[in-house]
This record gives sequence, C-alpha cells and structure tokens, in this order.
Amino acid sequence: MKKIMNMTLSQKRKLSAATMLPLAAMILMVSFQNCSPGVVQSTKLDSVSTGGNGTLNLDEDTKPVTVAYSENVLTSMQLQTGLQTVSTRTLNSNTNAKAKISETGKADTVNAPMWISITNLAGEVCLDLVTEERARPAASRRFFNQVDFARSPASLTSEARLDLIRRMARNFWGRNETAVERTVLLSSLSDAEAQPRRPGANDAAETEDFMIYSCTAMLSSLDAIRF
Amino acid sequence: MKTSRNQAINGLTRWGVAALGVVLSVGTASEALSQSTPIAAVTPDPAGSISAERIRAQKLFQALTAVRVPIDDSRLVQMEGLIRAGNTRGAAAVATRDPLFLDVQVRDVARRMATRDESVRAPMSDFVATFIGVVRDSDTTSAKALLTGNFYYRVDPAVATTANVRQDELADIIQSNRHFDDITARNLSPSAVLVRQSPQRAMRGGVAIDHPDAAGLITSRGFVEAHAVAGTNRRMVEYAFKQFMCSSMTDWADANGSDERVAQDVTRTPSGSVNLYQTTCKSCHSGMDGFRGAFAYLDFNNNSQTFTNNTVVGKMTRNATEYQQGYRMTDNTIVNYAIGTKNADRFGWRSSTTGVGIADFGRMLADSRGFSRCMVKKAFTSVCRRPPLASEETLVRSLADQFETDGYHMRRMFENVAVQQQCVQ
Repeated sequence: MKKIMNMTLSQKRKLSAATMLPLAAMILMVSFQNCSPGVVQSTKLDSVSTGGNGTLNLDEDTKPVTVAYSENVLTSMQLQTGLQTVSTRTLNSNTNAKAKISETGKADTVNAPMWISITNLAGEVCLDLVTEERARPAASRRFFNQVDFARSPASLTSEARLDLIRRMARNFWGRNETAVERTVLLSSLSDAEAQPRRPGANDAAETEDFMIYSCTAMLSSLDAIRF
Repeated sequence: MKTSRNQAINGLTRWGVAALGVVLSVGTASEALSQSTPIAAVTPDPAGSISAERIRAQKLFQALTAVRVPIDDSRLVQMEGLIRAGNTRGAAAVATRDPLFLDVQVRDVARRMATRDESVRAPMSDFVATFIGVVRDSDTTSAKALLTGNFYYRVDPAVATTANVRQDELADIIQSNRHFDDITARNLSPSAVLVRQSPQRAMRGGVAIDHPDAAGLITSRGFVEAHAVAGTNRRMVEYAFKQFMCSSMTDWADANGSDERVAQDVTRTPSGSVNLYQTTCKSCHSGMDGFRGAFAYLDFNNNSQTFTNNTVVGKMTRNATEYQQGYRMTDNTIVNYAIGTKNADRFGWRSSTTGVGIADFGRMLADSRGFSRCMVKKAFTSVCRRPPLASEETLVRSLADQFETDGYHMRRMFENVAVQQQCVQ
C-alpha cells in the first residue's frame, strides 16, 4: 500500500490503466456484439428467406472475418488515431503484446490474453493521443476539440460527449456509431464518471483519465480491429 | 510541412524569426521521420455522410494494405470518386501505390514465405527486402525475377549512413542479417529506403565472391539460412516448391515417378519392406532428389552461404552405405521428374526438364504456370484473408493468365485479386 502511495502520478495512471481499462473494455466489447456481424459473416443472409428454407453452405456462402494480427495492430492504431510517432512506452507495450496477439488474425486464434494485450496497447496509444492533443490548441485537435483539460469531466456537455463518440467512431470503427452504441457508450462514460476520484487526482488528471478510458474502450473494441 | 515553412517565411517578423527556427527544426525531424512509413493524421468529419462507394473504398484499401484506416481518410475520398466513376481497378491502384501496401501487406506476405516456421514474425531479411523491392518495382521488373534475378535489395547506402544502419558488406550483409535487422530497429519504411544491388554475393574459401549461381530469392541469404543449414539440401527443394509453387511435398509426391536419382542415403527397405519404399519413400524422393542436384555445391556455413569450387558438398553424399546402388551425386545437374500425370497440370512446366545448377532450377519454376498461379494464391490469401476455395480454381487460373499477360506485374496482380467479387465485398 505504501508503495502505491509513493508512486508517481504517471505510475499510478499506468497501474490504474492496467487494471481498470482491460476490465472495462472487456465489458464494452461484450456489450457491443451488435457492432459486428460476428466472426463469420454470411454473404447470403439477405437472400435467405426468413422462414429458414434457404440452404447455407458455409464454404460457399460465408466469408471469414479476421482481425488485426501481431504485426499490423500498432500501425492500425496509429492510423486510426493519427499519431505519427508513439512513445517508447507504447513501443515496449507493443513488443510485449506481440507474443500474445494472433499471427494470422483468424477468428479461431482470438483468445482472452490477446484481447487483454490489445486493450493494454490501446490504452498506451490513447495516452499518447491524449498527451498529444492536450498540448494543442482546442481548434486544431482531431478528437478532443470540445474538451477543456483543465476542468473536470463533469464540465463536458452532452453535445461534447456525443461529438467525441462520433469522432472516435469514424476514425476507429470506420463508420458512425449506432443509436444503441451511443446509448451504451454514454451510459458507460457516466458510470466511469461516477466512480470515486483517484486519490490525489485533480480535475485535469481526472479528465485525462476519462479521455483515455473512452478512447481505449472504443479503440480496443472488435470493430476497431476487424477486417 | 512546406506550407508551414512558406507561411513562416511569408510572415517573417521579429517574432517570426524565432518561429521560423522552430519550424525548421521540426522540419529536420520530419525529414528523419520521412524514412518511416507515413501515418496520415486524419481529422474526422462528424457530420460527413458515408456513401456505399466510400465503404467499398475503405474495404479495398484495408484489404490491400492490411491496416485499418479512418473513413474520412483522403485516400478513401479519392478512391470513392474512382469507384463512383466505375474505375474500381483505379481505386485499387491508389491503395497499391501507398507505402502501407508495401510496408505492411507485402512485407508480411514475404515474411510468411521466408522461414521454415512460415511465421509473420520472421525478421526483415534480404529475402523479405527483395520481395518488397520487386513488387515496388513491378513496372520495370517481372515477378519471374524473384526466381531468376541476380540481385537483392538493401538500404540505400546514403540513407543507411544517416539512419545509422549497419552496412558493412561482409559483416552485416553476407555473414549476418544485421543490415536488415536495422531496418526494423530504425523504424525505416522499406518501400522508401530499399535499392537494388547487383550481383548477389556469397562466400567461397573464406572470401566474398560474386554469386556463382544466383536464382533470386532462392539464393538469398535468408532462404539459404532457413533451408540449407545442415540437412541434405532437400529442404531447399521442398520449400522452393512450397513457397513458389504453393505445393507441399505431400501435394506433389508421386509414386509413379522415376527413382533414378534417389540418393544412396535413402533405404530401399524401410522396416524391411520394399513395398513401403515404392509406395511412400519414393513418392517424395523421386521429385525432390531429381532437383536436389541444383544445390550440390551450396552449404550454409559460418553464418553465410558458401560455395565449393565445383565439388559436391559432403552432406549431399553422406550415409552412402544405406543403399550403395543408389544415385551418387557427382555434379549439379538436375532432372525434373515431377512431370507425371499427377503433376503435369499442377505445375504446367514450360521449359526444359533438365538443367544445371540453381539458376536453371529457378528458371524452371519461374517459367511454369504453377508459379504464376501460386503468386495469385499468395495474393488472394493475404488480400481476401482466406485461401481460394477449390471451387475457385477457375478464378485463380484466370487471374494467373492475366498476371502473365500483364508481364508478371505483381502490383497489378494484387489489384486484380482485390477487385474480384469473391474477395472484397
């Protein structure tokens, strides 16, 4: 306990991210199964009668949905966030994650350690993103242009939250969020906001954590890494 | 960056001088970064509409580059326009002209071909670099050069100097993989920094020499390191067929082939059964040992590919007492026994069924229909994210025909694969 008290702010954030974000992101991923057609998407479903009389040939009528693999996941995240360079911390996280992330991206190679590694990596990338954007004037930010990093997350208006979700959905998921996803995300953000503040965290740190949380949840979800 | 500089210069004032200094120092950093794979910083357009053509553009781009991109990326906007105009091939060409295509997709196709593990985690090597280089230079280089060329790709020496890439020919290229390891370590974009180097190099008697029997990727240091270490050089044949003809040994094993060249180290009575040899052992050894002579003078010693002075290396004739009446290799001639009914259509041989050395072996493969079909299958598997189905063989053959008609143009072949209805939907 004493060790935790002696940690620097950065170390505490990392600890918090390492423990809370994977859990939160896993919940979000499970909640967002409607984001994705599933691991195998039928290319013929529309033409199959609702009465179920159509014959579905798995080989001929489906195509595999694959996800990012160990060698392209960081580049993808960089492209999605627009980060031209990432921190050494993120590079190290990527190196550590590689062994746990699928080599092929095939659905049957996806497992829990892979998801946790991707969530951890997304957390690091999001920290880089928040750090980069916070240093910019609000008008030139790509995602957090309506965020005041000096104030608490409570100051974030509903419109600003919706704008944030939309921007991340377009860049991370390559589409607009659905109404259901919007509701779930808003609810999740409210839940996160209602959590007790991290000891010693001021408004700025709280807002930063809040942005890392929302970014990580969306960047590590299935629709952000599936092809 | 240029715009920023111009703005700074145009607004040159007392404060502007300081600003210019900052901009220029950023510029210097950017130039160093320009050797890395470019990452576009896309600002999302929250109110922007997403057309069906944009979605198709996104799928095409992601399939060809193997990375995810934001829906508002300017390249997708450009591709959307081309798709709307009915030019889907043109849209695909936007993706294949992008550095991401070479730096991620093509790199990973090559990595999976480079080692025995066939892992995407294989290191950057001369094999991978040369594959990327040939695809990049498709306009001037036929894919057949992958198996016949006497060149390899390396980091531009000038770039290597500034980027601190180790480049001593003997220590870092011929006798180790350090030069290529540094491409990854320095985060360099292969598509931007690679240049062609000719001829290939090897060792003989402890001295670096021009490669005496070059055959493109087959005689790259990476491939030889993966398959000619120890053993009997049969793995060189096995993996050449696996990677460039897409046929594993079990696929092309043929018990009806001649065993005239099956070597002395292969017992004719495994478990005391001649029948077992005739029906099983011979199936693989017939074809494999027929070609194995190509590598008669090659070994991988002291971390480099080494050649003898036209004497057969010891490992090719070892265990000779196993069956002394078997074939004893005396030179580097080859005979193609994979020409029976089972394999005639699979490989579609077009050149001589005999030859001398690795170069002839490479040419034999490169001239075959099997090679062009295999390159299509490699592209299909990576771009469409699944291997072609047996029922899609006609499509594969048709794409292979087009590939040949296009002069074995690798980049165009990737585009042709991606725009198929069966691939990116």
